[in-house]
Amino acid sequence: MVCQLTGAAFMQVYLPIAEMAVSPWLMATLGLVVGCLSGIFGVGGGFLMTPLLMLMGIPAPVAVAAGANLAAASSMSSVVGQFERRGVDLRMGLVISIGGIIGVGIGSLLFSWLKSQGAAEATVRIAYTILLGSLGTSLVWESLRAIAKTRAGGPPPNFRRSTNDIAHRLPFKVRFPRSKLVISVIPPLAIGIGVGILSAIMGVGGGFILIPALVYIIHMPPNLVVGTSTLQVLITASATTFLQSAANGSLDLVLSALLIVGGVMGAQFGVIIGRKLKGEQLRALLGALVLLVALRLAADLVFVPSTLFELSSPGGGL
Amino acid sequence: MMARFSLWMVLLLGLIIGPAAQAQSTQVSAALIDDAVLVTSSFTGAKVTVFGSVRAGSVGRTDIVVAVRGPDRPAWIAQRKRTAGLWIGKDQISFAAAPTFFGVASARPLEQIAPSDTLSLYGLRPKGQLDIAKASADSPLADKLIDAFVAQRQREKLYVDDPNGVKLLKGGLFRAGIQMPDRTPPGLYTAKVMVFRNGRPAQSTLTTLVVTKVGAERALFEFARDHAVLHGLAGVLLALIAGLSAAGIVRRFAPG
Repeated sequence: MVCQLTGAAFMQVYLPIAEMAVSPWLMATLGLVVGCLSGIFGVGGGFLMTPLLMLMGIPAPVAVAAGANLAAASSMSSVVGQFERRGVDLRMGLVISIGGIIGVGIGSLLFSWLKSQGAAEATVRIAYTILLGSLGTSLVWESLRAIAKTRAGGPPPNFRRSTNDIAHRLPFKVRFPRSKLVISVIPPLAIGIGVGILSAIMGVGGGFILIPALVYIIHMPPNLVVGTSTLQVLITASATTFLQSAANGSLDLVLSALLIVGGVMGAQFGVIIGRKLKGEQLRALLGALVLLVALRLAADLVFVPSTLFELSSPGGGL
Repeated sequence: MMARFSLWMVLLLGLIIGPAAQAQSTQVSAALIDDAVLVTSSFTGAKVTVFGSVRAGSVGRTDIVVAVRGPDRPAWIAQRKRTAGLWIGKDQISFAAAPTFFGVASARPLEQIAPSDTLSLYGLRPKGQLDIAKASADSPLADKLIDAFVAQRQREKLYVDDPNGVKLLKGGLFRAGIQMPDRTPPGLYTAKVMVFRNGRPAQSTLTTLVVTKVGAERALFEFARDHAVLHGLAGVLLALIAGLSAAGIVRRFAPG
């Protein structure tokens, strides 16, 4: 299956770190599709790209590094557009990113501990399934309700209605002028830490979890959500790319370049498509996507897996 | 160039020495057509060709078996298992060393050439080449997992057994071809040529070949290995520049 997938095109390129040949067209197309999604939703696409690469027989550490590198590139390409249309709350983005970097540190330690207990993979898979499942369900549910309300002629639901929730009750209040919010600095920091932990453990940018958090916990204006999350993905994914190369030596620049060529172009199309969709539609689509990935993971947990055996890569090092 | 020269020398020597040798003794000489496999950016695998000549008595049957073995590296295999109704558990065993590539070529199926124990003893079976790690040796699942490991690597064409890989030519000459896939790792490879007489090993000869990255592949690999921090920064920089330029290009051609 590996050979069929990578051998489909007429030309192959050898990857120096992964130590295998892949079709450059297939990789660029994958980058294009995932980049497009990341432009639409402001997610990095790591949670899609990393498993896809692994399915094609690329060793897991190489797949994680390449996924993070692609996420960095496509979020860079879309954050430019977001800044131009003033869709980024820079202060909020930086606060969350500080939390994110702390979280990456905690996550790495946590992961080593889980690994030493022999429970790393099981924990990650169950957590991933529960997290994505509940997230996807709530996203789809909320946005379908909002769409139904709009159809019925009522006013769109106001996500910023509450001034009495957790973000307002906690101390250390900070003004976020772009978002027109005066809230405690603790929730964004905590969200950043949570996303950072997940990023370190699962090799994802964390946009898919950040967007609902910004909408439902921080109550950011919808037009700032995607841009701010893109900025955070850019910072986290860059950090992961760097760490994967410096600590694990698993960054394959040839693979990255192939994915990025497609990815940055895709991200541009994604931003354009995203502009034409309404907030509720965007959230419904993202919810459906997240739900699909969760169902795929759940199927792996419940049904007899198609591959009972897993092997180390031929090179043995990765 | 050297490889070709030594090849002709081998053939010449075979012709000179061959008839002079005692009637009952078996002589074999062999050489690789190319003793280096170069891994470039278009590397999709390579065929290793061994040429040689064999002199053996006229009584009974002579078989030639060629084995090419890649460098040993650590490896592991895990089997998923159901725990509390969910597929979250794993049984894993590790190998201290396993050949990264193991290809055997012959003119007819190995089982017809020699008994199974002989084949194992002379290292023509991949299973016998696996060095199981001490911690995994007592695992009750070891046998099953070792079989699964070999089967999986056979599916990936890393462990190959080709019963049509050796072509016998006229005058005791033979040619053997073993295909290596793109995932074959670089390193020092050993090629062993064995002559079987009536199912018993009679003579063997060893030669080596090197699989090595060259050009851009080598430069990138060494950069990643020797300057991991700079390599990481290069990755981040690549992402930032590519993102910026894509944004610039799209803005120019598709404003709004």
